[in-house]
Amino acid sequence: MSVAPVELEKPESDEEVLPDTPWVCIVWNDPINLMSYVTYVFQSYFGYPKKKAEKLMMDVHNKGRAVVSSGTREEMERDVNAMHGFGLWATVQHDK
Amino acid sequence: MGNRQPVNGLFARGRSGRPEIVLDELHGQLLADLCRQVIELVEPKPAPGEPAGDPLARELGLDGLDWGGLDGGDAKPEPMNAPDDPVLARLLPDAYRDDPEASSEFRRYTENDLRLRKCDNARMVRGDIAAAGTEGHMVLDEQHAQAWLGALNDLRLALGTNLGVSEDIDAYAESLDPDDPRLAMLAVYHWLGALQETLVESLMR
Repeated sequence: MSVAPVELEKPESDEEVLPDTPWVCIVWNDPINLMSYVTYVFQSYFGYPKKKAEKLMMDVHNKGRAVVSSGTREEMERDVNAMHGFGLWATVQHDK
Repeated sequence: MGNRQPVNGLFARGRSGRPEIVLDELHGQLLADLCRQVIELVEPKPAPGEPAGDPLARELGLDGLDWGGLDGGDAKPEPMNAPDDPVLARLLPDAYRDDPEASSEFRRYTENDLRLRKCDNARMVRGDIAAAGTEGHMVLDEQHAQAWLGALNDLRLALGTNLGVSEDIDAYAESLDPDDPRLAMLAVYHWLGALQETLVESLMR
């Protein structure tokens, strides 16, 4: 077994000032949205090629969720807002 | 004739290269009525007892924003929680899974606009159906196709949430009694799915 480098416990409030810890947009599985529609949204909104969009859609379907984009908190909130506009179930999360 | 004509009640990519559909009066009225119900549900409403607010501010999505910070006031705004109605909660979901405060903040800045966009989509579908008249033939440009996609999805989310559908829709249908009124709703739900599926197909390159 290897030993992880020692990491000091940081208070929660420090998260906000770390510029390079990304935030992510997660899309969750639901029984209603059509697989073709979800793929279409990933292609048209994010501009992903069809293969990548299909893989993300299958991850949502099979694993229950998929990280579909990452960036700053503001960017991820914009993406989640767009996903809600399309009717997908999406959340913002800090990728710790 | 000879050319491929759009089938009644489903989309096809027509000669124009755009999605086309023919909806008979019954289907058109049904769809328009479902859209009206979504508009009534989703349309932003002032809270009971509160003034209706500035229409322009509402239009710009500025209604309900906390301006306390501007005039130095530090009163904390009421938290904006997910709607109690399960259909509305599905149409306007929380943006943070385990952070009610961040969800509330996000909702304060975005929910009104999201509601307006959903209403705009449903209104555009109603307008297209009305404009198509009794012939019911529609050719959707990009803007209208996007509105239809969004509106159809909202209708399916609303119906599907009301019905409590699961991923295995056939098993769900079989679990219902033959005289269960939900079977009729399920048939509509299936049709909306086929409408959306054929619309996506006719947009995919």
